[in-house]
Amino acid sequence: MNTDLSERIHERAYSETIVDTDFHLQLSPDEVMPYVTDDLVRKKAEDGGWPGYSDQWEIGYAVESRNAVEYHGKATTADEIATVRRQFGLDYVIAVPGSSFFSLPSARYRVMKNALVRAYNEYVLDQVVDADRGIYATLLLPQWDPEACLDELDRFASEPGFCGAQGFYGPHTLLGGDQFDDVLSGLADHDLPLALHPGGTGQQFNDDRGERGSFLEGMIVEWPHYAMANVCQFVFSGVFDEYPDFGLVIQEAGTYWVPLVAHRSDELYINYPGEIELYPRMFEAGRRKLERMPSEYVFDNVYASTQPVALSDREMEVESMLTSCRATETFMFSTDFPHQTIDTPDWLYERKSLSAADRERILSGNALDVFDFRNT
Amino acid sequence: MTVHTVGAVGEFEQGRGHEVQVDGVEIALFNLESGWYAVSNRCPHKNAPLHLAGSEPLVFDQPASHRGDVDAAERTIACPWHALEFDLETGENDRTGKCVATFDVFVEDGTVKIDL
Repeated sequence: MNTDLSERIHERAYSETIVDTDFHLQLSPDEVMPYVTDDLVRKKAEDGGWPGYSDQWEIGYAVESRNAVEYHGKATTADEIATVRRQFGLDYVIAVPGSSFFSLPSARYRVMKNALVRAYNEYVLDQVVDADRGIYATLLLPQWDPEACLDELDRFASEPGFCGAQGFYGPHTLLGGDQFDDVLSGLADHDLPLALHPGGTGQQFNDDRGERGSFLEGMIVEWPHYAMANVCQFVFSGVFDEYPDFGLVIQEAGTYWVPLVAHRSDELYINYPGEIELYPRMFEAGRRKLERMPSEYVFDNVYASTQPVALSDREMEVESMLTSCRATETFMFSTDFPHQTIDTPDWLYERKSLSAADRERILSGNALDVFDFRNT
Repeated sequence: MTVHTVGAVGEFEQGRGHEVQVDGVEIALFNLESGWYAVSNRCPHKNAPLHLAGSEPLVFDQPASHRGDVDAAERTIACPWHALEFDLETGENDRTGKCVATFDVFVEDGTVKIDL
């Protein structure tokens, strides 16, 4: 155990098991270029760059930092991740794509994007995953191309270092639709959960009236909005009836949406049950109702990574939030390293309402149950 | 109030924060061109150690921006975790009203003293 506690994380974090479910690899596309195998794609990228942001909001205007997305550093290899892991008392790290990859769902040039995803996954397998040191990663899926998703699953899903799959929620296609049936089936066959992170940043927050005045407002509203849209589609289109053990992990949308979706879904399903019969998946299977109430799927199959945990100053309100979210069943701790909005595990140690057993579920138990931490 | 000696002036490099413990209280001590300042070493936002204001990122492959800041001219520090800025004299963040405790600190006979 590293005895340098200069980060001053709560000392008990170093003796309890913690899984970080949102640790970003701040790789630039150029850094995965050595893993691109197609000569034409390489030349296009060298000549014209990679598809990326367009109309992006500038996070640098939001915070007085020269580099908010690499504020705490840049750990892109197993050794670098291990260094940070020791500092923060983490036992398992699930490495996920960094900000250079967030906007791919909204970007153009499918061939280029698919090649970039393949190169990213190859890089991760080569440079990042190290089960002996608790370093795993999500397998990035080219969600704009379901056939290409199947190719990535064929190539990588059996590799022990990939503990789950990765997609993005945002102003683009939801991931529970019937066009993803084979992908969802593949994930279920490999027992891999699907983690969804905010993406498509360039086109987010640009509503029809163009009235979003700030990146701040967009993050507050749009991220939970698109996260909830995906969760609702998974619930009402019958994904969890088809795959009862499927895990859906929502990253960085916060926590307060959990009871909203759960209970509002129940209420409206009771009022309008016939709607779900028209989902293609339900229609083709001849299903006229869900097997369970919507809230059961939300609390049994859906998880929320906790960062950014936005806690009230009033402890009773924090306790209320944890209870209504059924936090011990749904929360998975995350840091969001290395972004400037980082969380440490300390907020869990400050809660009188959380028992040691409760804390264990959030810090590691739920993630250990859902993600596939295979050893090599 | 009790005055505590925390060390010799020479022990505290100028321009950065230092963590000191005074009678069980964790304090961030800053030796700046504009003077000496002492604040509680826990950011009121999410408990970041404020003595690390202006420190280097945890891992980097080239000199990068630092985490938070120490501004001697403005007499402010910015939190190393989330960049929340505090006035070293008042302890206040003027945007959110969040405050960090401040302590009187002075130099006497070459030693640094904090009044707790």
